[in-house]
Amino acid sequence: MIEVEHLSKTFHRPERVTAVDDVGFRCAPGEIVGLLGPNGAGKTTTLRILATLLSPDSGRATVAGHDVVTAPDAVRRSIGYLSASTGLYPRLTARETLVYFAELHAVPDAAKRADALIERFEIGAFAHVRCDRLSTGMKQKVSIARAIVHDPPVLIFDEPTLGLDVLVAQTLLAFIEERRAAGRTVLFSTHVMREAERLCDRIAIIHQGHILAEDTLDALQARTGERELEQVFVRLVEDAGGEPAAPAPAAPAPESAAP
Amino acid sequence: MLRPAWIVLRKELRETLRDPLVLFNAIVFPLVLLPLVLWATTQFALLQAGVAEDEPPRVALAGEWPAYLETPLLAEPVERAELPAPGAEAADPAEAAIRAGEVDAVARLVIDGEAYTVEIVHDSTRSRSMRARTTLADRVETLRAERLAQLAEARSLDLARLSPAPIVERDVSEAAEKWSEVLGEMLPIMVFVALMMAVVFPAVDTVAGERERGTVETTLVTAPRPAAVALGKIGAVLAIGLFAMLGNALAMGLTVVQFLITLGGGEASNIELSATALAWAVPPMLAAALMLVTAAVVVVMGAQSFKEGQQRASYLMFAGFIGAFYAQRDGETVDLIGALNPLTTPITILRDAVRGDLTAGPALVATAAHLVVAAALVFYAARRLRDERFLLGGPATESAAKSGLRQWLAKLGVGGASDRSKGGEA
Repeated sequence: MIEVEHLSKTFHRPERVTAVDDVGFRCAPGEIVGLLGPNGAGKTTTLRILATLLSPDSGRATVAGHDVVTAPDAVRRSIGYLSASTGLYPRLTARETLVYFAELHAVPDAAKRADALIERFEIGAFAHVRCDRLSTGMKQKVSIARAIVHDPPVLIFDEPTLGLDVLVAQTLLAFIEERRAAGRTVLFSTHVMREAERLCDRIAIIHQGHILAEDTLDALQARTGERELEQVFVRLVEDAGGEPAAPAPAAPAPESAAP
Repeated sequence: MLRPAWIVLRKELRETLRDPLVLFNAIVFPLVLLPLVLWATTQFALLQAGVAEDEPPRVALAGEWPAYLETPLLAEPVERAELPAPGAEAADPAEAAIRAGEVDAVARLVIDGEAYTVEIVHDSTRSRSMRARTTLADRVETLRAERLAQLAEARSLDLARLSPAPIVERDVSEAAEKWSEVLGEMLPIMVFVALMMAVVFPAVDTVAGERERGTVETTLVTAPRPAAVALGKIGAVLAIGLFAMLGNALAMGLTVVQFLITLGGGEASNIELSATALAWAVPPMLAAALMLVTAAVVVVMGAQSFKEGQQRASYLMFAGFIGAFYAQRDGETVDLIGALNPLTTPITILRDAVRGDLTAGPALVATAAHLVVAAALVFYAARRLRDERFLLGGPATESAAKSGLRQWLAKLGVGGASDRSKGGEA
């Protein structure tokens, strides 16, 4: 479970920019929530706060019942975080990377777990190749395997399909659906409307640091009278009229998706 | 915390040692190239000296020298040379001939009434001319002493009374001590250089490089605490630094000893090192290495990029070299109070150990001082690693602005931090 209430974060480089302003949403187990917005909307900052990499200036966020400010260690044990960059060590092989992160998470029999993930993600052909010699798609596969090496209950993915070809992207999206079926909480950011349409149980539309709306796709379509998510997004931004809408109330998780 | 730190350390070592640049800077350069350069320089200097030794100095006599003195003055290995006839263009033919390289030195007898003076004209910028000068001076002095003895005997005078207050030098230091002193001056600086060269690049790579590549994020969202991550990183850099430091100490020690033996002959081969003093040097040197490595990591942590990390590291190295030479200025043996200064003891402790002067007291005090500083730096590094300013570079956020020095200053009513904090809470 992820719960975010009135979260704000301001940067001062080079000038004062409020990246996240009074953001609130929730994501239940067995549910996929998409954080949808253009570049610079505040998606990455929100996910970094949830991953305990950044501290919120105000507001509250809990992940798997642990507060990101007061219990960051417990939060980190509960999440699998995939940053926008693949974040792989260039001079380690794919297998070494997986074993390393499994050991860091104190996974019993780290080597066995790494081998299982190598098989699951079809990494075997390049498991012993250094990461700096892998293609973007290969790197992303390794990166995702790394993020879930400890089988966390909560997955936080930042733009997971960025730079991937269609086939690898499809594999990744299928994996995210599989995680949902396994009862995991999945929060991912994207600016690709089609991905959000396919995957998300609920969508939080974020623009200039504000959540413009958070609901199911059907509810968003009904609210705006638009069919395509892209048009829904444009309408919501236009409706905000430069004055962003108040954060949408957190919707309860669908009962069918609950564990 | 130790197990995750060990996991991080192994990973850092594996990754760092796969970088050819690190291998060159940390291992090949200090362990192979530095000793090789010193050896090559020595051989070149010896070759030059050998070539010069093979050529006898050319000496000419000027003035009315008695014939019986010419033979002993111009005996081998000196080679007799003739001055050219005085010409209108040269006021002093001796000086002109020496400057022209035709003669190496000229012994000129100047007679002024009853007074006799021997002037030795030479060129101190040429080694062969200096050898000619020394040979001539020694021979003139010998002849003078013999003549004085003859005169004293002829007049039944006591020769000792004719030469009042002769200076007799007595050096109480043994040859081995002198050469240990030289080794003690050279070795600590070289070991320090090797350590700094070895750790700087891995420190930059493991901290600033990771941040630039975005890999530090993935480590920081794992279960281990930042302190364990910081310890692992520092441990890996320390392991590389220690390997280079110990290897270099051995390589440079042997090279320097060989160098001294070559220069000093049999005397230098008598260098005696105290095993006890060297053993006492191990704890403070290990602690000093930890302190310097942690300092390098902390300095690099503030860098915005790999390039800036290298720049900061080079400043640290420069400051370290200045400090090392400054520490050497005082030749006094380190006492208990002096051992409390962690800025100088990384150099002076090893120097004292080579001299054989290091005892348990200063060694233990220096170890404690180094460990205290290192612990403080590790603590700071762990906090900094957890600090979002490390990821973002500088106090770029409201949260960062509300923490640390700025907040303390704000509480004291100094600086503009309070305004920024208020803005963040709005």
